[in-house]
Amino acid sequence: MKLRPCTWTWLILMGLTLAMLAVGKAGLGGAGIVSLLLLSTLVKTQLVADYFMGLKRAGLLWRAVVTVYLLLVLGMIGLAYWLSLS
Amino acid sequence: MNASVQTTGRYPPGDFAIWIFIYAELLAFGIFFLSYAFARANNVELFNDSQLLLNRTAGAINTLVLITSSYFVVRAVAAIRDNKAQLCAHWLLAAILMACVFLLIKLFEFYTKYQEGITLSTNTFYMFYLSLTFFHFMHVILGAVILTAVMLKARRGGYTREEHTGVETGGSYWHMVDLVWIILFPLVYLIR
Repeated sequence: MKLRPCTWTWLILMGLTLAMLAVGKAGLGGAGIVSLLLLSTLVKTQLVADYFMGLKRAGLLWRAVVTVYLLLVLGMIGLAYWLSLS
Repeated sequence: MNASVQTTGRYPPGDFAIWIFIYAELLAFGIFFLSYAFARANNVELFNDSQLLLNRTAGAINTLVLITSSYFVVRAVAAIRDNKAQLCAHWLLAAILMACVFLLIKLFEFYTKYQEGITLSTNTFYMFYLSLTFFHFMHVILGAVILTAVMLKARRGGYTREEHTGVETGGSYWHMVDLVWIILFPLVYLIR
C-alpha cells in the first residue's frame, strides 16, 4: 500500500515526538541534547509547513518567510541556552 | 483569491488575508518564545527546578493529539479537492474532537497547577508557563470554532472541488496553531 506524503509526514512527526518525550523522561540535558531537540523541532516544524500547510508548492517567498522564521527563533533559543551555560 | 489562482502554485492554500494573520501570529509567538528563552538564561536553576514539576507526558500527548488533528485537516482538504464534501466534514469533525481532547488535557494541567497553589506570581518560570500555554490555549479554542464553522458549511454542501477556499483557510490557521505548539513543547517542557 502506497502511503500519501501527508501520512508519511504524520508518522515522522509522531515518531520524533515520542523520541523527544523519551529524552525528557530520561531527564537528559546539556548542549548536545538541546541541539538534538532543537534540530528535531526544526525538522518537525518545516515538515508541517511544507506538507500540512502546503508551502512546498507555494512561491519561494511564502515558504522562505516560515523557514527563516524557524531558523531565527530556534537559533536564538539555542543562543539563549548557550549563554546560560557561560 | 479564487481557486484558479491557487493552482498556479504561487500562493499557499487559503485566503491571502489568513496568511498575513498567520505571519503576524508567528511573530507574536516568536517574541514570546525568545522572551522565555532569554529569561531562562538569567534564572537557569529556577527554570530547571520548576520545569521538573510539569507533566511531560501530558505535554507530549497533547503534541501527538495536535499533530494528529492537523493530519485530519490535511485529509479534509484532500477530500474536498476530490469533491467529497461529506468525507471532508467527517475528517473535520475528527480534527475538532482531537482539539477538544487537547483542551481537556490542558485544562487538567491547569487545574493540577491551581490545586498546587501555583499562579502567575509564583515565579518567573510559572509566569511564562501559564501565560504562554494559556495564550496558545485561546488559539486552540479559536481554531476549533473556525473548524466547526467550516465543517457545518461542508456538511451543508457549501464547498466544492472548484470553490473550497474556506476549508483551506481554516486548515492553514489550524496548522499554525499546531506549528507553534511543536516549538512550545520542547522549549517549556524539555529543554534544560
